[in-house]
Amino acid sequence: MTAAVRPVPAAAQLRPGQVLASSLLYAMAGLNLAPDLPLPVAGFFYLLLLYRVLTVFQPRFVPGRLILFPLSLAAPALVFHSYGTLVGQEGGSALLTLLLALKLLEGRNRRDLRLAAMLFSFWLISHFFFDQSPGTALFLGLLLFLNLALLADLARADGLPAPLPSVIPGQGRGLDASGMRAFLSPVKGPIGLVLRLTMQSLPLAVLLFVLFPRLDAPLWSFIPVTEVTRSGINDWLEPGSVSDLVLDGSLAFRVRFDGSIPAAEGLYWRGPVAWNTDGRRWTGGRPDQFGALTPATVRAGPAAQTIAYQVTLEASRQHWLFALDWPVATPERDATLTHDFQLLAAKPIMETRRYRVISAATPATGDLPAAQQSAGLALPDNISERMRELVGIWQAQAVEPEDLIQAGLAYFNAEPFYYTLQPPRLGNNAADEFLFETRRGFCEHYASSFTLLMRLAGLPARIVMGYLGGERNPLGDHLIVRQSDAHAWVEVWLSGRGWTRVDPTAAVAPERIEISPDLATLASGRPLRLRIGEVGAWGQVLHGLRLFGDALDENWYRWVLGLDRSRQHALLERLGLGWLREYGLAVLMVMGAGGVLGLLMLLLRREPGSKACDPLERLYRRFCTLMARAGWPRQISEGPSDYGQRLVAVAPDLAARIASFTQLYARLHYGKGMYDREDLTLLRADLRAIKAGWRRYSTQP
Amino acid sequence: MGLTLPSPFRLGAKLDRLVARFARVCPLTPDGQARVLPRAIYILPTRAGLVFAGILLLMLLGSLNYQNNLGLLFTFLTTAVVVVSMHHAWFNLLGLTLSARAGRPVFAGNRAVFDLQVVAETRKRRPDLRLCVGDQVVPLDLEPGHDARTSLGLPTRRRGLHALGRVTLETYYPLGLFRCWCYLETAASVLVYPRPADRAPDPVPAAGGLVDGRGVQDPGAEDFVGLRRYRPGDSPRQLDWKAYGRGRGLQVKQFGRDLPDRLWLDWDLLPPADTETRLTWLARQVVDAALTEQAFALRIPGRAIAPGHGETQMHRCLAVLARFGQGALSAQPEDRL
Repeated sequence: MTAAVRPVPAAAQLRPGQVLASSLLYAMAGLNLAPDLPLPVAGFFYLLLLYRVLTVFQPRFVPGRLILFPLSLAAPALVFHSYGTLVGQEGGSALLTLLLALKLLEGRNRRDLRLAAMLFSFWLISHFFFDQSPGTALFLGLLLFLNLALLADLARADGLPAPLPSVIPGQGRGLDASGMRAFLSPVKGPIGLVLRLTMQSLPLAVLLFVLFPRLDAPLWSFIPVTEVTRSGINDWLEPGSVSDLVLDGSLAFRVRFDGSIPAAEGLYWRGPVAWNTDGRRWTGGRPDQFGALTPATVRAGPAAQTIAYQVTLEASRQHWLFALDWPVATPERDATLTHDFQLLAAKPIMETRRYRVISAATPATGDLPAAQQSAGLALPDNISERMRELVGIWQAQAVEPEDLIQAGLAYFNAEPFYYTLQPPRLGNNAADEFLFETRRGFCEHYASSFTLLMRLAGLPARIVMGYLGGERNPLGDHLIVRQSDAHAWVEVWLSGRGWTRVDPTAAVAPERIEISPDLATLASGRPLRLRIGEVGAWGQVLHGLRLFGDALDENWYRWVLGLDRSRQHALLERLGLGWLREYGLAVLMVMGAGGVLGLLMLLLRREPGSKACDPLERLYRRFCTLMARAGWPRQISEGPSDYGQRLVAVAPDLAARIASFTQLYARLHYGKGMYDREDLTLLRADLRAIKAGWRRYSTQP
Repeated sequence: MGLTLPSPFRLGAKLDRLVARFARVCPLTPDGQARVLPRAIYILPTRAGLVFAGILLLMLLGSLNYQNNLGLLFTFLTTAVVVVSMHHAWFNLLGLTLSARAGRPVFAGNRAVFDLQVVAETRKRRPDLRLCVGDQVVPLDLEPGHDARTSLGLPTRRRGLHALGRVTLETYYPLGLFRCWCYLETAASVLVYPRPADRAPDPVPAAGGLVDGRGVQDPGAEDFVGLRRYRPGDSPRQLDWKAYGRGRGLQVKQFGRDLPDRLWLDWDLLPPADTETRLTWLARQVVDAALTEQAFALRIPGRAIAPGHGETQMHRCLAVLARFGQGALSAQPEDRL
């Protein structure tokens, strides 16, 4: 036999429908990316796709090298013009986008189009650098699915009925209905085929996804850490810096407690701590200020009652990992706890981050180091006489240091202080003006002026910024903390108790809280401090929907986006397989994959219509084998009745049996599987009789 | 993009031949069919499959590196679909039965025709099958409960028995990423007659002398043989106008050579030449003799065919010529003289 190079029949010819489908897939996926692309790049991309579609209907416009070459030069030039680079997350992705469109334009045969379809999946997952929301994932998943269907269609041999109809240039220009039906046919069409494939591969995909070992740290990184506008709480505080956040209903973080959710009134989420002020702006400690202070040097004794929980923090582009007052331990390796109980990540939080913290409800802050004492008592230059006089009166009356705190809170409560989102602008001496003239302010006003008063009274004090409260989502059973929950409070050091939290804002008389009409449109949970009434029926519905979306989002992150190494290990622990460690994960994955594929084999064997053991056919096959062994094989193209007649002529005394067997079989076989147990019993009896009587007709020894 | 796929499907002829040499072949069952056995199915990625594997690896590395779980999910989903498609390819071949039937004998140089039938023992669809023999590829699609029939014409060069031999049944279903194939044994063979030479030495009359009026009409010859009734289409130049004038109707004068009524087509009477040349001469003589409806007998070393005429005799003699020297001479002992 000659083993020559054989022509591959399925190779060359592209059907226009396939080109159109491919272009359409690229165009749809591009929609997802377009908002992130500069206009020239997006425009060029869609022009290339349009050009490709044009060449389907007008083959004379198919671009030659003279057109393709400048186009392929234009692509990198355009990207460079827009981004100033060809690599990196955004520039590289834009370049890939344009190159793929060029590849599609250049493709002449099935091989090219198949390559374009394969690269499409690579391109799809690069979209997740920009957006990982459930909606995007669903949309891109649909495109991935359709792309596989296109791949299946491209693999079909030519000369077979075309699933997509041909469009002959200049003649029929659409997909006619019958062709479309064939394409969508659940049995024969590629869509149905790939749907079955996908369904059958889901268990394996989920298994791989859950068990595939993850990396702890990237192998390489092209992503430069860029300074982008920060959102959320800043590391400094001045009048207006917190109240700006109150109308921001966006998510700050979610918390899932190991136990039940504590009462919202006690949930002070600790972030930056401000020590220093120039009279107006408060900032955190300078690097040299506290030297080598660590939590160990300030903490005395074990914390009594601990709360363990997991926080899923949205990207803040800052270092703070917000934690419930007071954080005492965290299993996170790249997080450190400072002497003033700030939990800091090693790198700014650039994407959603999940971490675990253990907090103690009762403070146990121990002694006051000298550095903390001097920083906690430092005063700015612009302390006015009025302030000194006020504190002087309190000092004269106070017996215990606690009395000073009570005096301060009583001052805010008794004097006409208002809690408002629209405080008047303050001049150079903000604290003085607020305390004695305007008396209208938000939490940062109260916190900063109270801190100054305490320091004047000789009590070390500092400001803590963070969030207060949060809303429990009944659907996800987690706590939602929004930017609108931003808050600032004060910590005062008392010799007997250590650092003690004081929230001067809470001292404002309830009747002097001003409700802003803007808050009603927020539709988020009502910030705890602004005791707002119900927002009406429509607001309730909206709010319910938000909670539902939030639960969906939380689970999405919890089960899909946030499944990392630690979670995998937690899963192993829960299965009682914690001792397996990293290798165990891999072994479990391989074994699981084997098991899943074994089950799949069984499933495919039992697929409807593929019963290898249709009893009727098995009986007839046994009959044929029996006859063949005896030397009377069934001829090719000999139907059951013809074969039966031939055999009847050979063995006249078995004629009745053979005739009844073959006739019954033929009737049932062509009767589309409508037979019952009695028919089979009859057939079996015939077969037994034939088998017994047939021996003497055997031509074989 | 500089990436190109040299061949869309195959791994290359070399590897293919290597596999074929050591491969399991599905044997013939007693009823002359070959059934695809589970352990005789081979499967390897195609070039497209390898490229796709590379792309999937890139997707995996990228997603792992950037700790992008959605990327991982898509990568694993695609990988799982590819793996499952491999199993589908395997099941697409499993349990198929091939039977082959040889067509009529042909002369060397013509195509030997084989009828092939593929039957599925299950009622599942078997799309995108291909039967490959030599450089011939026949696509087949098996609908549920039906069988697929096709004919293959294989080129022949030498006389003798031309066995269909091993047939490759392959499929790229469903995604074209794997080539799944098996080798099936077949029992059919077509007898290939020697190609008749363009011209051959005149055969020798058996009894000597010319015989009684039986001959071949040859308008170019000069001997008048006789008259026959006019048939439309006869040349007017050969009409017997004299006879027409005598009122005997239109008659045509027939010319021709007289031919012997019985010929010995004898190996030993041929001019010296090598075996194959002599066989082609004899084949020419057999064909000519049969066409002119002469009786003839054939004698070749070790074998003789009794005189006879007509198509049956021709096929009998050509078959003997085809098998000459190929060890199948004792098949029909009754022909021995």
